[in-house]
This record gives sequence, structure tokens and C-alpha cells, in this order.
Amino acid sequence: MPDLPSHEVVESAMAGNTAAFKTIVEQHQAFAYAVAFRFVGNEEEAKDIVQEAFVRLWKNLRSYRKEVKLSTWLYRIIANLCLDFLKSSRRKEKRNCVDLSKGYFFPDDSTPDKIIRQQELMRAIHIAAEELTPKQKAVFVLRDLEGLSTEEVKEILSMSAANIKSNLFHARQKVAEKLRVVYQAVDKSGVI
Amino acid sequence: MSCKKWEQQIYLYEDLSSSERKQLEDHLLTCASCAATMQNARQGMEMVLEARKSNPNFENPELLTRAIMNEIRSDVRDKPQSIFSTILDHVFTRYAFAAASFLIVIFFFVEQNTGPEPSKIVMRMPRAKSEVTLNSSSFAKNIRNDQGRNQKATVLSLYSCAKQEGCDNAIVKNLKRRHKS
Repeated sequence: MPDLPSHEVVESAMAGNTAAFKTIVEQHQAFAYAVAFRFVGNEEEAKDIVQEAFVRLWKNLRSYRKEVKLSTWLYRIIANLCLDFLKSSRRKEKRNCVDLSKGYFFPDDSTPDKIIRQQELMRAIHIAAEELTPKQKAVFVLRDLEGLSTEEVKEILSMSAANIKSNLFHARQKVAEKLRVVYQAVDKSGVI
Repeated sequence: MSCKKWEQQIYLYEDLSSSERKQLEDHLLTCASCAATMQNARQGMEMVLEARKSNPNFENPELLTRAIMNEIRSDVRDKPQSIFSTILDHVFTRYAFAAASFLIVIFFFVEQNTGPEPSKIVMRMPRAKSEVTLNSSSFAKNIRNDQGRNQKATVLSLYSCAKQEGCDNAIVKNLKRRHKS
């Protein structure tokens, strides 16, 4: 998660200062985009979700409670928007249009061979995650791909620990099975 | 415990307590099916952890910032907030209104239970002006009397006489008789 904005910046944004809010946007939008992209697998959709999430954050900033981290609150808004998207008919139209051509950033020292392997892996993970239900996908993205703790996921998705465990188990089982099938096919044909 | 139950523990291995891990590892030594599942789960998890290292490529962040801020500024322009609405929106004001409403309701109930008794409203029927009893036979008798009176009046009343034929002659005769006598 990104560094928390200073107390003064949040207070100022809560009082309606747009310049202070811009600081929060600049600080958090990269990580907000990362979460949204991992959910939807499409650059345009991810940017639309991030934009909508920040507008919602701005509109509800007055009711912000300081005991909740701002980043957790933003995660919650993004997760809800992504869940809405995954359940929507718009998503069904784009179900098989996972656009990962320029979706991920690889370090400069990566060799071309390593980059190709990494791209293949990301594509395989996205294809495997397409099989999950929206809730399973939400838990899988936050817990495994974003690396958040069970407690944080519980707070973001407002789910019980048992529910998270159950969804995570089914998500990991399906993803592992799908990856096994995909990589067995690659071993035979050499192409995903 | 059946292999189905162990399977859940295999996929949630890092969330297990040390005693649960020990039990699972003991089981894996004796169950080839669960050991294969464990291997598959580990391979899958390694791939997922590898995928975690790649961050989504976020191009032109300044364009997204501008789009967000434009939308927010248009929202601010659409809803100019007066001092009055700012005060009303304040959390303290909302709680104050809620408390005042609650006190009014409490006061109403207390007043209902402890205040003076309301005076009783007595409905009275209006008193009749005269004692009149409707009796059809007496009504018919009155009509008959009226008719009798009307017949006598034909002799005396000039108006009644005018309505009857031959009355004028009778009046003239009467007047002549009086004059002679």
C-alpha cells in the first residue's frame, strides 16, 4: 500500500480543498490502477474504475473516519466498483478480451526471454482468474496478487474470516488447476 | 479426516498454525493423493508469487489525474455550498437536530401522562321549540277545517268571490237589500 497522506492534507481535502485532494490522487492513483487492472485485465476499464473511485472518494470524504486508513477505504471503493463490473453485462462482452499486450511493467534489467516468460505467466494467471466467481476473484487479487493480509482483506471486502478462507481455497484450487492445464499444453505445443 | 478436508488445509497452508502444519505434514507422508495435491498447490502458488512481482504498467498518470480533477471541479461548480448548508451538513448540527427531536417526543409523552385531565365534551340534542306530534288524522282534520273556512269566506271575501262565477250578482243583490232595509 502507498504511504499515507499527511494528516493536514487529508484535513484540508475534507474541508473541500481541491489542491489537497490532487495530492492524494497523485499519491494513490498508481496503486489504485494496479488493483483495478488486476481485477479487470483491461487498461481502459481500469482507468474508468480509478476515476470513478476517486470521484466517489471526494464526494464521501466528509464522512471519512480517521480510524480507517485512507488507502483501505480507497481499496474498498475500488473493490466494490470492480465487483460491480465483474457482475455487469459490460464485463460479459469483454470476458475474452484480456488486453495484456502493454499491461505490465518489467524491470530494465530483464532479458527479452525473461520478459516473454513473465508475459506468458501474467496471461495464464488472468485466463485462470477468469474462471473465478467475482468474490473469489476479489479475495484472490487482494490476498495473493496484491499481497494483503487476511485482516486487511476482511476489512476491505467486509467479509468474515471463514468466508475469506473458503473463497481463497476455491480460488487457489481453480487457479492452480488451470495453470497446470495451461502449462502442460505449453509443454506439448510450445505456445500458450 | 477425509482427503477433501486436508485439501483445504493444503491450499491455505501459510494460514495454518504450527500444530496444524505438523498434522498435515504427517498426513502427507502417508497419503500419495494429498502429496500430489500439495505439489500442484505449491507450483501454482510459486507462479502466483512470481506474477505478484510484475506491476501493471501505468502510462500517462498525469492524464488520469487531470481527468479526475476536472470531474471533481465540475462537481464543485455544480454544487456551490452556502454557509447555511455547510452548517447543516456538519456532523454536530445533525446530532443536535436528532437530540432536539428526541427531546420533543419525550416531552410530548411526559406532558400527556402528567398534564391536567382534558374536560369532557358532552353532546346535547337541541331542545324542541314546541311540542309537536305528527298525526296524520289531525293533519287531515285541519285541512278539512281550512276548506270549511274557505267556503264561508266566499260570502264575505271579495277576493274569494271574484274567483267564483255569479258571486258579483249575489253581492249586488245583497247591497240592494241592505239599502232598502
